[in-house]
Amino acid sequence: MNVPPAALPNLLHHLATASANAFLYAAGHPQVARHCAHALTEAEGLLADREEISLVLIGNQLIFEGRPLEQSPTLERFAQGLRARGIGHLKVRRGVTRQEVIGLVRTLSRHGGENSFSTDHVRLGKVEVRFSRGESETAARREISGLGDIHADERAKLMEIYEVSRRRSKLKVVGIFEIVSSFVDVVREIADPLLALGPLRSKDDDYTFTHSTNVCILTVAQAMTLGVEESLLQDIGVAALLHDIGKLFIPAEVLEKPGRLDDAEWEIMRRHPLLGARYLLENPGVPRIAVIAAYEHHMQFDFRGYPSVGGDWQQNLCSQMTAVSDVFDALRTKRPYRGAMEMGKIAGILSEGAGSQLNPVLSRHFLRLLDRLNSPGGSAASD
Amino acid sequence: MKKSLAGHPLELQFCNVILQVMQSIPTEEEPEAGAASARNLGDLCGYFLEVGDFSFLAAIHGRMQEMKGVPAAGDVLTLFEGADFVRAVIDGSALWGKGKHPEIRCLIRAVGPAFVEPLLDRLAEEPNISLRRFLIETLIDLGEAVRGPAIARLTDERWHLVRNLVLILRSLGDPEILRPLHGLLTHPHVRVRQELLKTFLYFGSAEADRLLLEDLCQQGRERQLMALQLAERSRSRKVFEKILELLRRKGMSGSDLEFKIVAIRTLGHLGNPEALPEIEKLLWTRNLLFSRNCEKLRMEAARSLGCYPAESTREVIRKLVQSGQAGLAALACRENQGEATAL
Repeated sequence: MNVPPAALPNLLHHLATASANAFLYAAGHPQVARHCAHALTEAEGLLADREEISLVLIGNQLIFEGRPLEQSPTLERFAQGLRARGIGHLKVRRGVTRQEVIGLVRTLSRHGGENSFSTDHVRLGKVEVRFSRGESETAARREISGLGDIHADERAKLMEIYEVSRRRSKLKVVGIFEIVSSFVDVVREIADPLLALGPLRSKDDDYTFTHSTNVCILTVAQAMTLGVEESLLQDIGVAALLHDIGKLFIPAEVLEKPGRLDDAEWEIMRRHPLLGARYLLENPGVPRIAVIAAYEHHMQFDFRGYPSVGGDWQQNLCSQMTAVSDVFDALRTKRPYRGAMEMGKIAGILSEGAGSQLNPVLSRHFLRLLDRLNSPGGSAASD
Repeated sequence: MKKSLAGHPLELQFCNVILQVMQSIPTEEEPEAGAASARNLGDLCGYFLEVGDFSFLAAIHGRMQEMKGVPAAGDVLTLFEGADFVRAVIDGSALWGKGKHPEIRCLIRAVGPAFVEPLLDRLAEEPNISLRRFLIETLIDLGEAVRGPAIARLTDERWHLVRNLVLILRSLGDPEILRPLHGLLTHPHVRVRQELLKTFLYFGSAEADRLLLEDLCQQGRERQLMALQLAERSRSRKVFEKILELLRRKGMSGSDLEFKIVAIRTLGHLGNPEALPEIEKLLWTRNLLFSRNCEKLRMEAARSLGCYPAESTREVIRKLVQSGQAGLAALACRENQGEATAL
């Protein structure tokens, strides 16, 4: 196996740091210039015995010369930066100049806007990677009339991921990205995020699996309708899908107890955000936003939830969107201790929770979606 | 709020979650979780260092101190004291400029002794005066931790480093530091000796008066001037008389004027009325050749009257008024409001 040259992580480190500084300060900041100069040196070193450096991003995995790079927090940051800007492919050719490196860094530091960058020696691009579901995929997807029809492959993969987590083994992060990518594509292709409000059909699967999938789809749909950049949807989807992963470490007798939890059981249950965040931290390649959402999704907008944190804590938008989806899906689903609620009643609860339990802007936005769903022309998916 | 989805705000939130996780889980029982947290936190510290977020680094360090018993926290604290981290923070003072100096100093103060030797190394070699000032102030901030390493370097051959070490040691406010400084009293460089003089004066040491007299008797103008300025802290009769003697010296050229003005100011700071006869003489001085210099000297003398006890200057001011020296009298009165009313 070809071992990637040591200069490669250095190059990516300098590019990531230069773009972080260019974003925080200005592209002309001395610290940006310093890291650009280092990046150029590393690039020239790498290009001494090859014509080009070619990197491809698949999920959260960087591929160099056909082989995945060993994950490290620095590479994850770089990969996350590429993904957040919708960049899937970076090529640097022999002869690259200082100006071209600076141009690349400027592009990598930009949030939103045009992310294509092309010079004689540097190319950035999008890579459409289809996750091997055969030629009939597009046709099959067109037939999806709602999100009730999640592909059996995804269902199986997701169940496998949960099994892996339950054993506290390492997560296959690329696999999670594949699943989320297909969810994002489906939500995008059905062209009406309202359809996402129709829940995944629950068969005999356990609640955590079905609920996580629903929350993922609902959160991606919220993000889309709120105008969140396309390039961030995958990370948001992964975060929402894994938000409850900590529940896998809660004893079944507590998690599946049909009646009310007593104080001690409730105390155990309240640890799942912490356990989830901790488990995700142990898995390289998991997006940072997923760790944050796993930890924060029960915190509540007014911080009266759990875990409790200091007064200066700032909640992440993704956690708050996840919380809205979480509450909505939990209420509409039949549970061992109560039946599924009517939409009107759910809307009332969401409305009541706006500003206390839930972010008021997100709640109102979600309620507007519900209104449209229930209006005569609404395109609701049947439950 | 969309900003929280990527970039620096996301890194800050991620770090906060790691800190919460570390605090909430007894990692001695779960070493893998602790190691993962420490690894992620270590990487984030590198990131914050690279983007110049020194205040957040100080906050992380503070949290690690709070959970010192947790093994993973110990790993992170070790990182803060590591040579690479320390060097990068000190480099940051030049890289990020003055704007970041308060944050950097705050971080160094939090981490403490691990920074002392590297800061002293840098101080010895830093050519930029404003950075040297920053390094000195930062070392002073570190307090007692500096004492031993600074004393150990007093024999360094670089006079500028030795002078700064004397200044730093003085800032400890402990007269005990005079003991190792005695050995430097014969230092060949005048600037070191001046700093020593300041230090001995600062602690009211008798040795200071001997040094002062030695310097006041010197022929070297710069050394004499410096001694004259420093003499304002001396309570020695001999020093006082030496200053009067210097003030009586003839000459009214530019350099004589500068010298005498410093002497008048020093005497003013001392405030001993026994100096007034010499000051009064200056008020009546005339010099046809250097009339402008003479006028400046008279004005300085009049101004200095405000530094002496009011009752001791009343007669001098009255004489000025009566002799029609309105300008000088007004100057003296302005400096001595009480007397102005009385007159």
